[in-house]
Amino acid sequence: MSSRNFIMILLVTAAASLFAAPAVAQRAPESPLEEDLDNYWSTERDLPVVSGRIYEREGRFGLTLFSGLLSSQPYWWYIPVGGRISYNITDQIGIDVSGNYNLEQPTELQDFLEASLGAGFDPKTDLDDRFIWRANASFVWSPLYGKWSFANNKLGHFDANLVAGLGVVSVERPNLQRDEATTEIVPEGHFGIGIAFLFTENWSARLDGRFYLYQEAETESNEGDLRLAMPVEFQVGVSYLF
Amino acid sequence: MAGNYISICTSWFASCRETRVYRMNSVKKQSRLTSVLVFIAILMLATSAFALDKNQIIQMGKLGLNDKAIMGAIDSAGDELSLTEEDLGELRLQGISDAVIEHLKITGHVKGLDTAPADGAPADGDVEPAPAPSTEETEEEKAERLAAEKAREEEILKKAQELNQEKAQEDARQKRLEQMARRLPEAAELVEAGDNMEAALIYLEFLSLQPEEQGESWYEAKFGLAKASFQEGILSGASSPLLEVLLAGADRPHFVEGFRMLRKLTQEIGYRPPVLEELTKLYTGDLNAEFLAEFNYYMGKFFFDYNRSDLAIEYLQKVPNTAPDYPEALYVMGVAKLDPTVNDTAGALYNFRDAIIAGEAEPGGNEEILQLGYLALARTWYEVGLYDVALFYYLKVPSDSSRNAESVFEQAWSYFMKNDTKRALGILHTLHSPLYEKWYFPDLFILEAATYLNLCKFDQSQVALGEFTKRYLDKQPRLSEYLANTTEPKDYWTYMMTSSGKSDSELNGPPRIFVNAVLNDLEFYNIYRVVQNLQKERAALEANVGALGDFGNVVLERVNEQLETKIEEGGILVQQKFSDLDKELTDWDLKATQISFEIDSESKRQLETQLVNPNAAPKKAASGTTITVVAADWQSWDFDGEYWVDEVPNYRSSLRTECVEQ
Repeated sequence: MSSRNFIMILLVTAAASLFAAPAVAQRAPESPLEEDLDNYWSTERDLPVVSGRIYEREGRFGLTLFSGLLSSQPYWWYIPVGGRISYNITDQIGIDVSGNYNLEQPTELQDFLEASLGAGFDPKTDLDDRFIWRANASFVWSPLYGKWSFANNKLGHFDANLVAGLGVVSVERPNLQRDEATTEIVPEGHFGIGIAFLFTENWSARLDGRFYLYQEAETESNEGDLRLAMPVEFQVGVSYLF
Repeated sequence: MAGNYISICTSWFASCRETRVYRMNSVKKQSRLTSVLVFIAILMLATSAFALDKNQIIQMGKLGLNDKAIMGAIDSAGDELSLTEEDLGELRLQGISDAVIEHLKITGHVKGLDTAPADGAPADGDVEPAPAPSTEETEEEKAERLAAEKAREEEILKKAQELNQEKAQEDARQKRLEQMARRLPEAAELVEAGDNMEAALIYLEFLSLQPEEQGESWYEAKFGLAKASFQEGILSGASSPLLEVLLAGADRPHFVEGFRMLRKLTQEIGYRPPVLEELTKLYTGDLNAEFLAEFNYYMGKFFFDYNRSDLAIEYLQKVPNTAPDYPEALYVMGVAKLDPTVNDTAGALYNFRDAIIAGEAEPGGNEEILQLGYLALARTWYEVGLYDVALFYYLKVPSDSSRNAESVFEQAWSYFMKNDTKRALGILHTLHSPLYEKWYFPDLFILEAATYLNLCKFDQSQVALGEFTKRYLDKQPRLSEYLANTTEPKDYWTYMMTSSGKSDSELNGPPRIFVNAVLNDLEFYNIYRVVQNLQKERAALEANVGALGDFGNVVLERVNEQLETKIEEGGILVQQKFSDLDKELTDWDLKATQISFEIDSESKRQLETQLVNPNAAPKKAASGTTITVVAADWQSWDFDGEYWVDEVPNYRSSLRTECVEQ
């Protein structure tokens, strides 16, 4: 390293590459060999932002238990309790299936109606759908991966994801005439966002938001119309990757 | 007779030499040549006097022999040719020219004519009659003589026919040449339209007719052929005619365009034969300044590549600061000035600096020159021993550059040389990241082990040596075995071409780490590019070989030969490189062993010191420091196993020395 000849060789080598390098920079790699050569001879090379990722998901299954709150509906609010099984195809892409049961509670509006209407009020037929359970399959994309600190101390890693999928929701639904209610299973779509805080190689905490889209119960006045409802659910969960 | 033959023969040689000169200048002289050849052929056959009669003269006339040839035959026939006045009349009737008839008269072959004695020779009447033959010719002798004469006549006839045929062919060639010359503008239009092969066929046919060399049509055809081949991707095919076009002169119409094609050929297939030096002898003063800048840069780089630094500098200095090649010229000039034969380090530093300034001034910035310039400045300052300055420039090489690995590696050496162990170890940690795992740096671990040894961190030093063994030494036997069992250069080349994308276990030769070292070799890379281009060229030729005819086959054969030669050359290079790696690794192994011994002896000494004096304080580290500016928005945290691209260049070691004062 300290020899002058060595420096000369390096410089002359660099000078000799003057004619070659632009051509390299312009062409796209066509084979594994070309890709390898680009590593050494391109003006710019593609670098992964993170190498040696600590929290690797690729090829791993995950099990999540969650609960949360669905409070966007006018007559009931729910506490969903459920689970999710996921498979990570890569560190960024995965699929999952989830299901939850909804523990419902009447909202103040329902209480008010009940108090106002008295014995003539039947929540099953006078109100909208009541969610019982739902099951979904989702495609998950986790483009964000990072680490975070609090007061200049690194606390951990996180990744954020976008979710979209299809599923079904079981509802107690009043009929058109609003004189009786039946339990039905209705298809729905959903999308959402989530963030996972990665504590160890296996354990993580999750915060997720889900937006469901489904055709809500019809009435005589809107029979045949497309009436989409979009309940919003917030979930908190714990995941184990294995 | 003998004197006459000699005289004619001398004249033939003169004609022959003259004719060669004519050939160079004008093909129109061909017919004249044919006549002379006919004449000579006849004389060559007539090695002794033979009987010639009027019928043979008539025959020669009908065969189209010119007067000179017929007169030569008459002269060679000797005294036995004797004609009468009637014979002359018949000759006239059969189309024999007056000149020949006159020649017959003058040379005394016509009976009954009064001919003046020539040059004091005695008149016929004064000459003694020839002595009568001593014996009468026998029947057998006569028959033999007649047969010989007949055979000779037939031979003359055959030769004359052949020569006549050649003359006819020559006339046809000339006619065809003129026809093809009229098609050259059409071919030029085809080239412009991209119908390269159709145009090439016209040019090839024209050139096969042997037009006058250096003539306008020849020049147009050569250039057109070069351009058509070039545009079609048949670069080897373009090189020969292009060279002829360029050497035909800088004042010719296609010099500038041809020169730009040459630049491309150099770039694509490394074509720069030594004969290109002849271009510097051409007068280029009339060409515009923009082209002259290109020309001077090319010639400067050409001489640089041939290690003629003085000449390189001479030409590169002529590149003006307005030229697109100006930054490159400055950079190459800087490197040339570091050549021991020039030894102008200060000048080189100025050139590198100016190259960077010029590179930055280019629209969008000339990233290539910026990186090369910074590296050159860093390396030169390292050589001078100003490591801080060197580090300043090393850090300018961006992390996404392929040159970054070399820059970081040399940074480690710079920190090591200035005894800044914290930064040296930080950089070594950087180099252990996956971002640099494809680079071959066996000395990295030796450097790391030595640094830990200096800090009396014996365990870490051993770990570094262990890593060296695992990553390099353990793989060496496969390399050595491959070298011992593989002799054919072609096998080495094939191995390199097929090893990418495979893991070590899938490879049946040297592991990836050694393959990577070869891939990082510029000479290998250049040969690889040439081979790639030749393969593309071969594919283009094979697609057109039917249409190109002989030219296509010749070029294809040449390309195949070049391809084979280059693959052979590449294989030898790979073999040599593998062999060097094998030897180099053995040397590093020796150094690793030395460090291992030192670890043992130094750890014992430290232990003894501690036993003698348990309260001995650790030695104060005699380490250097490096000034760094830490911005307020910097955040520091421990390395947790992940390599983030923005963090990689900024690792610091927090290790302190554990050496005990002796």
